[in-house]
Amino acid sequence: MKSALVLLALTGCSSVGLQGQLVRIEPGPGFGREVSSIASLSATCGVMGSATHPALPAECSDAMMARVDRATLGFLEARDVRTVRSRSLNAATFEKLKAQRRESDQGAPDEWGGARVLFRSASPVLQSQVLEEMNVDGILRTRLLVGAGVGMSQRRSLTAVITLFDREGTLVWASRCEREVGLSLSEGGGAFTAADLLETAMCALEEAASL
Amino acid sequence: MRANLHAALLLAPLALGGCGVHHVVPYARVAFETTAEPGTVLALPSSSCSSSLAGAPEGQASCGRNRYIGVDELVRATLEFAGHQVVDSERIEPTVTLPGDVWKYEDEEEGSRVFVMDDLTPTHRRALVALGVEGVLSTAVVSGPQWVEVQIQMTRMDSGARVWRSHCRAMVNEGARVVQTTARALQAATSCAIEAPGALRRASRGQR
Repeated sequence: MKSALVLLALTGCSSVGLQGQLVRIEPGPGFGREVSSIASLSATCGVMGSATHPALPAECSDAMMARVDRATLGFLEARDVRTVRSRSLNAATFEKLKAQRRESDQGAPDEWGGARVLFRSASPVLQSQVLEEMNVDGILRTRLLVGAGVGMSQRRSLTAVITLFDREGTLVWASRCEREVGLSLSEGGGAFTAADLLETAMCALEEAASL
Repeated sequence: MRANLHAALLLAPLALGGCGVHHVVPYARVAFETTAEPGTVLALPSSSCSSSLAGAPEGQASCGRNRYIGVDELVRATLEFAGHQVVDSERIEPTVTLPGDVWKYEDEEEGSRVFVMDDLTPTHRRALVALGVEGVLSTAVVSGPQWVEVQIQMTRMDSGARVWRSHCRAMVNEGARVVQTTARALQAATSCAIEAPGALRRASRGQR
């Protein structure tokens, strides 16, 4: 009886246990438009905590986000969607920014030498121009959130929100998947891993693909 | 048997306390000022404020520039899910087309950029509109002695008119009793503040 109560206390609430997957998909105003080529922006991530962060927390490391990006592109390519890797977009954006710089005559182009200009850091207008030139129909965004710890076991909710916008910035669809991870009575315990985060992102993407 | 019973009595409130955190619901205060929602929104990093600083006037908070990354991600993900195209202001490259003084550098070492809304002149606003930005979203996290409050407001870039503002407060303590962790309260207050305007608009449409 005591051990059962210890487990009950550790998990926070035995009657709730780990929450299953909660998935919600919303078709947007652009739903139904043909999107055969997609550019995927680098995933972003945040951890819900009581402290402010000067830099990204460990759970949202660049390496982790790169894994999510690779999995996302692999998923799309397996479904015969033409994908554009962020490296190509970055190069294209960089060239456009350089050209823009020269036209406006705001200093020597050399100032940009070696600068790493990300597509994500370009303005919406510039992003749209780059997508048009690269013949890309849609843009995929992935946001991940690690929720605050709950109970003594500090189980956490992981949420992935994936959206597809067309080139004009109209929402085609949005998908959200939320899962709870952490110590579980049935699984025998264990903290959340990078694989959990990846699985949450794939959950949102797979549900969207079923639309 | 007796020892087990004692353990049960000690552990039961702990276990039930874990259940209890699910039932702490913050309440929202939302004000709508114009109906035209912007499509593409520049989301500013959250600022952290304290209402309990010595010398601060009653009802006014003193804010710093440290951001809550989790709050920002939740706010932005919710906005995108609702169909807004969100531009992360700390990622946009400011030097290309924006006047340099729109951006202030708080921490040179970290290289973090801070976009100060109050400093925006009509020229700055026109420059941002030319970049394709239709609205600006700002978020403040205010910490009180027993609560946290998330304050979010959406402003149109072309006119500078406020579209809506939404405040949600979640309790951390009630007297000596800990209701939930600060992080948990922050998550609840953020979800409440960013979801409330959309939910109210939908409810209003449904009544007509």
